[in-house]
Amino acid sequence: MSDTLVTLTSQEGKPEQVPRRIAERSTLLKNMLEDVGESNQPIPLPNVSHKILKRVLEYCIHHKDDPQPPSDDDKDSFDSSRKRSDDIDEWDQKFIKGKEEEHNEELFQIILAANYLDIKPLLDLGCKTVANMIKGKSPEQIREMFNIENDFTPEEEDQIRRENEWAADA
Amino acid sequence: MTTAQKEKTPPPPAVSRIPPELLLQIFDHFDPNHNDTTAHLSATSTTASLRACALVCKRWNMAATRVLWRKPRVYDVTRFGKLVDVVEGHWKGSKVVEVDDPIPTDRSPTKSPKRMTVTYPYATYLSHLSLSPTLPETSRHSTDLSTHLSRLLSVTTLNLTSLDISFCK
Repeated sequence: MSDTLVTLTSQEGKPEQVPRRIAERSTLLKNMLEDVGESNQPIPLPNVSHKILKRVLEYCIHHKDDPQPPSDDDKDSFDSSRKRSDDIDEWDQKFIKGKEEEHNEELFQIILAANYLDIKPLLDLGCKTVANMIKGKSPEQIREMFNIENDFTPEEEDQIRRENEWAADA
Repeated sequence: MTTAQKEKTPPPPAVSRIPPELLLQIFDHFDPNHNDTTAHLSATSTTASLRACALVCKRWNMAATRVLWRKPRVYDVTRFGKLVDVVEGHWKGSKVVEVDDPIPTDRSPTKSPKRMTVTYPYATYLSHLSLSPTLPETSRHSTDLSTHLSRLLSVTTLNLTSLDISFCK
């Protein structure tokens, strides 16, 4: 039964066939497949582009034999383990890095897809990676790196700066 | 070609679509558990990173402020004093001050920390304060520390659920 193929349809309407056990790395898909039972109906994923779907499936295939992440009752132990930002597996590190030129856009797209598809370890990997990139950078450097527009007025920015002065680097 | 291009406006960058709960999850990495000894505990990798995130844009500001202020890591007494100023600023900045605001003063209101109206009700964000893990031994007996602490504890809107100052006598 776990060898059956599941068809996922990306945003562009392009079908992608994957073994059910790969698709089940996504808690969203796992629950959907359990609810639907045996069905050949393709599952539409309007929030995920084909390119990102392929990347996410690449991750799922590599991690197909990992134990399923703990359920919500077990969340505390999982939470404390994911706070560690410096213990990223070598394959994961390479995977999340992707292609240099589109790295940041793709990284956030992967995070959004992992969140939507409910793939906790991938979401965690993405969040850790972003945190590691931010660490030690100035607000200007962060904006530049991720292409974020500064929507503060100079007065607002100055006030926030002062209110959080106690948190600044020595 | 031009019509096709017009129809297909590129989607907004993914970073602008990251919802607040995911920003919180990212920023949580700068607030590792105190008992995690491998966690980076310097200001650079904790509070300073969160402060930088709070200054990126308004969306990031809201999420980073929550993480920064709920369990503030205080690395020295001077910083603690600054934190307490801001916590008090909220209190002074509430209705009480609006009443006596029309009273002319020769001092500029913005120059005085007591008259500052702060961006957020920071006092209500503070839920845990644990000075032991970050405050160096040498500053634990400073008289300023006890002054700041009593100022903090007299803020009426304070929402503190845990205060660890176990090193104080």
